[in-house]
Amino acid sequence: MVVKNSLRQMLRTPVKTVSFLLLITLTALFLSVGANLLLFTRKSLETYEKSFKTIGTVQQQPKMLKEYAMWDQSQQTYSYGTQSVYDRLIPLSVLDFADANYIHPPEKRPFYGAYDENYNIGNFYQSNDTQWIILELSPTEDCIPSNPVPMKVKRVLYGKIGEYTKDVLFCDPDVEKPQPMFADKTYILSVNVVALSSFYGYEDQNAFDTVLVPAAGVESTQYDQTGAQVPDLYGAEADGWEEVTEGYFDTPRGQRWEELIKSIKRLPKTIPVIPTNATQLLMAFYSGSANITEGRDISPEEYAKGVKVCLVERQFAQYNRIAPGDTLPLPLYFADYLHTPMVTGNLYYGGLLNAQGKAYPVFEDSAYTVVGIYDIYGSSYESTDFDLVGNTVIIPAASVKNSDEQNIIAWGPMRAATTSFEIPNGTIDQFEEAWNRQGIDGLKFTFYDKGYSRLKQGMDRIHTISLILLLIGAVVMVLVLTLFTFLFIIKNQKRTAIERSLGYRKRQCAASLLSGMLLILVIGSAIGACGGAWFCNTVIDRNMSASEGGSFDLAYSSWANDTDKLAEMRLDLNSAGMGVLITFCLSMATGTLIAGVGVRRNLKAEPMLLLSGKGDSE
Amino acid sequence: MLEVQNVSYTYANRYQTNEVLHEVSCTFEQGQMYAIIGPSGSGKTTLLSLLAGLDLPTKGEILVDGKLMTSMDRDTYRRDTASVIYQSFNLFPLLTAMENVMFPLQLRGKPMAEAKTEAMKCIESVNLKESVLNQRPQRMSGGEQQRVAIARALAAGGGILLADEPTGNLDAANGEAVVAILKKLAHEKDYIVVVITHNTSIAEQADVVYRIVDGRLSTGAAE
Repeated sequence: MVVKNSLRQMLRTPVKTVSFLLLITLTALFLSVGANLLLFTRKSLETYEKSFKTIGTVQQQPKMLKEYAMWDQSQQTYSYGTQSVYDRLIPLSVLDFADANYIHPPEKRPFYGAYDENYNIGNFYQSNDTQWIILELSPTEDCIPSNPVPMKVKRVLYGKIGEYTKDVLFCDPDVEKPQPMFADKTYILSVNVVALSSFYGYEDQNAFDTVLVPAAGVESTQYDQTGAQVPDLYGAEADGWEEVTEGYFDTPRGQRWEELIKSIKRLPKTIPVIPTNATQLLMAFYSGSANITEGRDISPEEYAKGVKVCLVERQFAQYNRIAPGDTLPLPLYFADYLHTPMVTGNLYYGGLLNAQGKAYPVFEDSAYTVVGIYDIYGSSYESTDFDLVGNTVIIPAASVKNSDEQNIIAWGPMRAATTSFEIPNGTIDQFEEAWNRQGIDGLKFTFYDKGYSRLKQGMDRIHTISLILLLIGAVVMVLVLTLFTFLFIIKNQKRTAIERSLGYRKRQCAASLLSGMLLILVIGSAIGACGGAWFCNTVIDRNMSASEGGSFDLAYSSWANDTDKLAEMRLDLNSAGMGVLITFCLSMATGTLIAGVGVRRNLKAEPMLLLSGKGDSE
Repeated sequence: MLEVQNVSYTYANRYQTNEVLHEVSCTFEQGQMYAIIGPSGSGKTTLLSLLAGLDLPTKGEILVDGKLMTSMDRDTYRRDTASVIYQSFNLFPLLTAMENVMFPLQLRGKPMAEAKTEAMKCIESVNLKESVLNQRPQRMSGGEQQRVAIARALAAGGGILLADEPTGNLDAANGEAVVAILKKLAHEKDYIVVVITHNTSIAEQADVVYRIVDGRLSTGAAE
């Protein structure tokens, strides 16, 4: 009866009632749009935070480019090239500075070589022994091998030169005036086989179609951990060949050849192993050109604790019948701090022997548990240095307990492909400002955030707009509710007094005053809240569809390629129930509060004083 | 029977304390019409408010048929026992005359049809024209409005009718008619009718007249 009478009286002031309904619907709409946008941006930012990572790479800039001369045998002249010159190698420790807020501190990754007789690495080194040969030669006559000269093969120590081949052409094309070679002497040397056609003017020597040229010899390129080359105990040979004399192989230099052969023979059973502190620090994984497709990633705890677990490349896993959970022995015997692994192996650069002239000994021999298998796809970045090659195994850096200081075959400056770190999303500017304060020149940082900064900027703008809408909605709602509380409640003070005098209890008076207003508030808030959610949903849905429609290249936006993430964002949007609920509850709470204050004021008034006064009751 | 025993009422706020009624004692019996007269601010309306159960005395007691008002549910007392009519009528402006009269009946839980029938009887007893039944108060004359107010009081039943200057806004003819209705209620329907008035001619028609001056009550004829 109380509610019915209240509604009846409210409906008899239709202009006021409809105005209230319209205004409250509009303000609820504002609030709802604001609330839904706010929730959407917050959820989106959370999703972005989860799916985006900001990786920085570091490249030491050369102090200068230095020109160097290189003898061009075919042109019989020098050609010139340039090489980077560094006045000093900037240590990684400079990146450990105040205000550097790293998620993963910078790491300068080497790649290790792991050798095991049982490794099957497919056809990576299939032609190794026909390309790289160690043999003893003797010139048919005294010569200076600045051009292809005929020689007799005395003995092949390593490699295949053809079963019946005894005569070959030899040339040292990289030196203008090579050392003379004498017909009565035997020389040992390491050679590569190249096509004769590359030697201008010699194509018609029809007995031969290839020429042997000097390859990496027995010189050592061992480095220490400061980047200084360890002095070779016996020095390097003059031109990559040495005369074989009686008892030569009993001398330290002669034994080096045997060590070299031992090292070369390990190559077809050697795989690259990359130690890191987080999988995403490897740009191949970050860019998506490598992806774990079986098993799982190495966990942050495993990285931190240095657990002996690893990720294995799919093809290597197949060749070696490895599955997640299996154990893989990784006897590590060299560390290269300059290069990244290449398909053909970096050991072609030389550096197979240590400063003592020995093949590098294993410095860490452990069995690793395979936790995941990854596939390698096409390159996504401009430099193939970022890509992983077949057979590469990823391990936690901390799992290598022994020092590699006696096994460093190459050392160089920090390179983008080998030096990277992770910082929190959206902090690139802060990082750069903090770095600039260090006043250290010579390092170039490149950041990859897959478009996070741009998206975040957009989201921040929407976030601000949503806050403004919310604020405006809230203020207008308070004003509207205050106005109509005055019209529906405070102006009805006398009505309350009449009801009191007729025996209404205070709570019945409150119900009588509130019910009609709250019913309108419920209807208006519900319509406005749902309308706002629908509007917001529609607008954002259209924008997302437009983004998917190809107007923008989202190749580097992992979230855009991640249907699960998109679905997650959409789902939240579509189920915008939370936004509706928030708006509805906010409207109702504000309305009840303001109206409650009005009702309280009405009930406090002395009924007799109001009723005995002159004038009509409204 | 309504008994007022040594009732004082003090109005106090942050700045002042004002004793509006001072040890007032009087009795109101069934079948009698009482007039309370006195100058403005003498405490007449306050006494009526206490009699209506809208407030409680600061000191003293009011008894309703021998029961202390303080021990009663005063909302129920107002709903079932005492009704008040006012100079300014105090009808619900957005309800029709009929709805106004039905209001106390519905409040007591009467079904709609029954409430309507009873309301009609009350309306008939105050000689209200049928044409105004579906009109809202603002379209009625003062006399009509006061009749509706009396009908509403009758609908509440109870037996106590308190009237605060019931003819203050009426012309002489309508005033007379209203007083006649009140007298009829007291004498024929055994109501206790208490009328607060400045009007001596109304006071003269009362069975008992109380005079209040400065919050003190005395019995006496109207001036």
